[in-house]
Amino acid sequence: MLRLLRADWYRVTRIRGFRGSLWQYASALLVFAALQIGLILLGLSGVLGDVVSFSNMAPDGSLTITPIEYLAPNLFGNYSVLVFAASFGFIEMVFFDLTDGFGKTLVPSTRGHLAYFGEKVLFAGAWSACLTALDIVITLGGFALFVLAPHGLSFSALDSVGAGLLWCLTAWLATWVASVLPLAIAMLTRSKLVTYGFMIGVLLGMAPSVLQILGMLPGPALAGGSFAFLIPLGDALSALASWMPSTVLHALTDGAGTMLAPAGLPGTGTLPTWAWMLGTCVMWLVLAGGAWIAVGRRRGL
Amino acid sequence: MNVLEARSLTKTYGKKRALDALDMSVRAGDIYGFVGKNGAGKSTLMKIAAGLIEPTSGEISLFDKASGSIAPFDTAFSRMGALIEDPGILPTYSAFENLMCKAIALGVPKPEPHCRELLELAGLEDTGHQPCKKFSLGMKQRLGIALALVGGPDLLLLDEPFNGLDPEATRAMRSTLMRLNRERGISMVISTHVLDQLDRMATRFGVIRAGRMVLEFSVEELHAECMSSIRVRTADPSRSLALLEERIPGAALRMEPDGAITISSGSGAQGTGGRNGSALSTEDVSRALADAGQVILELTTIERDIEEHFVELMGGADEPSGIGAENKGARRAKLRPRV
Repeated sequence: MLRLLRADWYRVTRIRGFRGSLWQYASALLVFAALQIGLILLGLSGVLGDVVSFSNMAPDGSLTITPIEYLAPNLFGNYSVLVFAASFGFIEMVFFDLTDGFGKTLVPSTRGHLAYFGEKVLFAGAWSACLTALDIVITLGGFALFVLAPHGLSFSALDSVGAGLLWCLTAWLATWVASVLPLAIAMLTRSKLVTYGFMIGVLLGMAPSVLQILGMLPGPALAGGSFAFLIPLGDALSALASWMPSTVLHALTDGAGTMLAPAGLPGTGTLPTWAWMLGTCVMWLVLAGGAWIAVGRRRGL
Repeated sequence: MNVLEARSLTKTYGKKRALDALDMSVRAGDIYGFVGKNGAGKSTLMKIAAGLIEPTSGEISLFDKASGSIAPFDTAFSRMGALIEDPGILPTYSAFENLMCKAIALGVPKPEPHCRELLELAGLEDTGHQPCKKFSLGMKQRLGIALALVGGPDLLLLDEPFNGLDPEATRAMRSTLMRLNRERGISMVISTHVLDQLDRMATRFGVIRAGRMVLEFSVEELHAECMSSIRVRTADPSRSLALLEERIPGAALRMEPDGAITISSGSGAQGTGGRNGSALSTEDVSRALADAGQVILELTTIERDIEEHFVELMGGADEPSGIGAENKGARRAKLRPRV
């Protein structure tokens, strides 16, 4: 399995002609970070007045955010380029194996299917760790270099080490989940359209939204109506929504400050935020990874 | 040792039986030519042998390690290389990078020189950094074979390896494969429709029809079955027939309607002529008749098409028709299809 990991690492790091997908998607992260910083600089310059402004400034001109409070919405905002890059980049790589047939070239000479499918789950972890780390460095480093330093600004405070590390760990795990989630769909359907469509739906938070709506539907007004069967399920559906990966992604935008506080979501009880996040990510890694391995071994390459 | 053995191998897709209790054995050092119609089950068997799909029932063993013993069986896969259907390559990477990916995955020590050697073997050493999506079909096929050779496998599974290759490249590839078999002892299972190429390289053949193995035979048995026959016409056909029966025992003799005698050689029909003294020749027939004072009016050699023989086995063996059909049973006396 270590050899397969090395082989996949070799693939994604080919720099000539930007063949390696790591450089392709890192470039996308760089461009997005540059656009964000460009907008901030535009806001600070006041050229466009109130049309574009930097909202994290106090009246005295100091910043009101910590490093992770700056990172969080940039990495995991409404349209997270990081999560899209991790997920789509990995799907692309897997489809090379499935539809272009490179997997068939590898499998006859490796130790059967289990090592191949298991390795892909692990490599998704390495892939997402790399992209997450790159994005953190690019985003924070670019902000420090082009915004803080030239304007003599500094963060209001630094995040606590523990909370910061927990946030980074959860950020990585959530990105890992986004890479692994579509694998079983890809193996089942062998369709890029379906797989990408599925991931877009997941990343846009469709699953928790639907569950929450279904959870809110039951009520006295619906008793006896078409949705009456949902009445006993209302709380369960709302709780289930809390344990969806996209709910974790959304919660990451709150930064590290809330990591140690109770999550406060339906079905999470008194769990601190970091425990709920980690639990959700680990659960989905096991489910999605297990589904990929099970479908792959049955369907074959 | 059998490098590949299938016993009662069956694969069903819904109601369709792609393989039906198929038995097959490939010995170490064989170049095994696997022949069958489209849809007969060749690719299915190759995929099962390559570990790409699971059989429905039956057993397959690699290097004498049966599929029931998981760990040793999985290890056997590392001694095998395969090119099944399309050459599975990474289109945006160069040929060298494709080979390196696989070499690293296999843990090949010093992968770079190994991959450069394979590039040269496949005639792709001049492709440089060109991405494979710009390769011709023939180049992709050669890269596919090179990928199958990464790690120095002991067994190669090649499904239609000559697809897309021009005659010169086909000949070069055939020579390379035969050299690998001869010098490195790599066993090969080659499924192809290009019977001419198989005939020139295979040491054993297997013919599959409707998911079942019809017949397995060696190249010697094939040539004995399909070797040329001799047609002779004399002034006294009856006397000549009796003479030939007496002087060339073991030969299959047939009197044609026009009075000519067709002589096919069986394994017992040894001649004194020919290059190695073991094949019946026109010289043998001529001498046998002339010594007895027979006047020979016509003496010719008739070549039997190997392709015709294979086509019969693949789908026409139980439906003889046309001229010579009554002789097919005699010719195939030594090669009996499995029922």
